[in-house]
Amino acid sequence: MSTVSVPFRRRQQPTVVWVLLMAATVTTTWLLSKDAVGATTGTGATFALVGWKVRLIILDFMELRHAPWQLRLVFEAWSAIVPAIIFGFYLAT
Amino acid sequence: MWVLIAGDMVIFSLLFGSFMSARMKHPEVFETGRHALDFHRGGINTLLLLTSSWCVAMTLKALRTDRDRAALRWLGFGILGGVAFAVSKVLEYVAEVHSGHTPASGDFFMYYFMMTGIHLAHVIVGTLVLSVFWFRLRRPTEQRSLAGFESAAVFWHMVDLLWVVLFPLLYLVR
Amino acid sequence: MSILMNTEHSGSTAVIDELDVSNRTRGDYLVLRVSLLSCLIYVGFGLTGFAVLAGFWPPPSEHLDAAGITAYFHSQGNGLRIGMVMMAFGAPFYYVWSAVLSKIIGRIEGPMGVLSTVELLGGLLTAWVTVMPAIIWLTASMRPGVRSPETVQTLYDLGWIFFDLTFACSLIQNLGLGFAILRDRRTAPLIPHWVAWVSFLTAATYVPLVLVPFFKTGPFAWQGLISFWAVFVMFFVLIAVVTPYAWKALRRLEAEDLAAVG
Repeated sequence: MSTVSVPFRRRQQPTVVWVLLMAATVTTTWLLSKDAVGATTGTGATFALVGWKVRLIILDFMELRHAPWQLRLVFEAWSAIVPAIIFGFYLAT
Repeated sequence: MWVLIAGDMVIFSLLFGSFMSARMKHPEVFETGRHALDFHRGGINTLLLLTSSWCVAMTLKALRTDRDRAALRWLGFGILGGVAFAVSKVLEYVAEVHSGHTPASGDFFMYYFMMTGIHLAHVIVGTLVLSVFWFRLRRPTEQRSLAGFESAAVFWHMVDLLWVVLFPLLYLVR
Repeated sequence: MSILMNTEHSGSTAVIDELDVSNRTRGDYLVLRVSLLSCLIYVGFGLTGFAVLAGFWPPPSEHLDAAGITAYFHSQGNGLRIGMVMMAFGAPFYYVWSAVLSKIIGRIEGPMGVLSTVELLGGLLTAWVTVMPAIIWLTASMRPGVRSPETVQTLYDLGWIFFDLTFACSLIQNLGLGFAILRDRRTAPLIPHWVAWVSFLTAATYVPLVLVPFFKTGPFAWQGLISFWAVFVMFFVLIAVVTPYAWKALRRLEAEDLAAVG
């Protein structure tokens, strides 16, 4: 059972990731940008989602999920630090 | 290859940082600048690049299981995505210049044109590299290694990833 | 002449020639190693002169007016002049360093390989690109009080435009080095392949220098985050990364050559 389902799931992975990325983009672009959402909440939520999207691209499209931890650390750190810095600047403005 | 990717991402993060620190000085100028951009188009461009990235990921999956015809098809769609993005971006520039916004019209548009311009250069390079692999794939050879295509794919995903940050930075920060 | 005479005596001459050849090889590699280390003169004199004595780290901004930049030159006084003399002296050592890399590349390529020549000429031009701004800024610093502020500003601008808009000289050198490293098909390459990507990254950071004439502030001005910090840091990072691997490559090549002599 598991020998069949694991490769099957693996093969589906880029598609699952793609659907998640598309959904997150629609959320940030057309929902969180609405005036009904507060500016700070909207921007904060947008960049939280951006960090998550970047991490998905790194781990599943660039295929770093099973890479040596040093390489993974550098790129995952980028996905967390860069959106955090952008939002930090935003809060300080 | 990872050295180049990481270095490129560091350079872009420096640009993101300087954009935000310039915004700190004149948030109102950046807010009016942002409103002059069409975020619908920006959002659609994001969807285009994400889809293209997915096509390239699927190409690699197909190549690994020796399904060359499927790989060729996926890669073709991936390249189309890159071309569509580039065309859309150029049309956007034309529209912006027509309405009087150029790199000389203040800090916001300087950053907008420079950052998206450097990114567009990456898109063009990436599309050309993917096209070279598409033509190679059409002529099947006995001995082949996936290492070259894997590097090209990683570069393409980086182009996608940078846009994923660049788009909300320019169009959505309010 | 002595070689001709040696060949006339048969018998022991073969042994003497062999010894000569291996001594000559050792001598060649000694000179190569010393030449490789000449990058220390380039970096040492260059950074002490440019960064410490002239205080160009980061340099006075592109948006300063004539009075502002003239005041800066006056305040630095002889420090700036000594700095520029040091920079002009140290700069040509860059081509000596490049000549060593050119020799190593020559061992990767075949006899018709052109990348070793590209590396050598790129080194020569990069040396020249480091000399000229020093000369121009030195001229700007002379005759304080007599030189008009506009002239000082013009020369200061000229120095930077000469420095930054000649980036293609170094960019081509970096591309040549990168491609040469990637072309190395030995099972253990003379220089590891990842170094080629550092070289390509350095080349890529130079491209935004085309924007220097168009922006007086921000990351693309000559004192900016990209045009100054990214470019200058990557330039020195590449030297720091390549030099130790070139040193190791020379050791291997020397061992190969000595083994071939017997």
